[in-house]
Amino acid sequence: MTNAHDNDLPTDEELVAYLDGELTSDTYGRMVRYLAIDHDLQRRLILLSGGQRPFREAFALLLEQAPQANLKATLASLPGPVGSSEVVRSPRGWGNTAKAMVAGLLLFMAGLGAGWLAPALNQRLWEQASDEGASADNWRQAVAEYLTLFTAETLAVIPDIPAAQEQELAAVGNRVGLKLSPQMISLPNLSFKRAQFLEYDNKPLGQLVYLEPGNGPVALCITADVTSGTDYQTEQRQGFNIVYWSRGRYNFMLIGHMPASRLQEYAGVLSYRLK
Amino acid sequence: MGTSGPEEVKTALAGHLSRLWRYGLILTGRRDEAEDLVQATCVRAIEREHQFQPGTRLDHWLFSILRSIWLNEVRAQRIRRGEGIVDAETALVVDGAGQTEAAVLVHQVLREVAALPDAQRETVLLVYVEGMAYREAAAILDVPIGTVMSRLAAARATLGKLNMGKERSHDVRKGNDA
Repeated sequence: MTNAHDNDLPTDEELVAYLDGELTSDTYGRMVRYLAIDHDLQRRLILLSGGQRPFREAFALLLEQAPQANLKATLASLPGPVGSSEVVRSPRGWGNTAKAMVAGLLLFMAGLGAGWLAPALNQRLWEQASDEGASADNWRQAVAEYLTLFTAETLAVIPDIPAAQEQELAAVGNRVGLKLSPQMISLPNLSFKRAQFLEYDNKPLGQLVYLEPGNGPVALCITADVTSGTDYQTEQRQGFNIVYWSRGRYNFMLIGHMPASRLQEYAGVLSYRLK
Repeated sequence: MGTSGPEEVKTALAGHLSRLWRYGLILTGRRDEAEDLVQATCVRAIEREHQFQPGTRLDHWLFSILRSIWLNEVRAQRIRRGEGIVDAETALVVDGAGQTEAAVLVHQVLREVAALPDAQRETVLLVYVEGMAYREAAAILDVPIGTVMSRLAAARATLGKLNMGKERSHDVRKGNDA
């Protein structure tokens, strides 16, 4: 690290953030440029991606070993009644917190848009989602606005590195609690470009971005929430066609400029695989 | 939340006991101490329920409380008593190891993570197991995000090298078999 070029090279920390979908907007573009040309950096990325493990599955064994009966008995001995259901995550504290929630789409890795756009977009979405009449539909509006920042050109420069894509998918899947692999999310005539982790309204939001020649960016977005299991519905936002549905504890949304009928075909494929 | 009172706190707490215990186990390396830590965390959470910020994650708040009790009370006492560090590898050994390939892999992962330095192991748990964003893990660990990134990078490099070693030995075995 003795000259300006070397000093600008992405660090291991940034490579891991790239794999984890946590890269900040100012470093993402630099990362993509270097990864496209620097073989040493690609080798380093492969080494670090080899550090991935099925952590969640392995540590689930320890959850099974937890002395639940003792812990619940202890809690029961403290003042007040105790609920009995063991849940993996609390969706949101307790009490009437809706009006006080900090809403908005947090862009952890907004590198595909100009860095200066993210704060402005965030603020706009925050104001919108904080309205009294804000509804659960707002996340789709937020995603649609975010996708307007993407062009075919911005996606085309992202190098296709299978190991990196697999890691991104695993990381995003880990965040939303859904197993994701390249095979599960591949769609005919669409080139998967990358997965990233966002947040909307304090909930994790996974976004998988594809490129379709002719129609530009297509995105699959996933949030984990309490859902009622809705069938496919279509709508238009920001000039995009959208198909959305929910299965189990997940909300899905497929968005792009292609005809809604084609989106619906893709939605059927994804809905079958992502259970 | 100030109006909810201990009843609602307890109801919510009941949903996080196992994960709190697991975090306690990672920190203390002892199952009994992990249990004590969860108990102390429950007591503290009920006492301080008015301090919980609506709209934030309850489980993260509980993790912060548990960690604070560990650092300031349990670990401090342990140091005062002159007790040594517990070997995490022993603590993370899971009873009834299975014989299937998947079970072997899972136990291998636990052993590999157990062999990481304490700070890396804890950060791996928060980010890769609990699924926290870097900024969320940094808040609980009370460190800059850069520190979280450094720990994860170091952990990944260690585990990545282990992988390369395995692949090489696998290749050698294949070569010998040929």
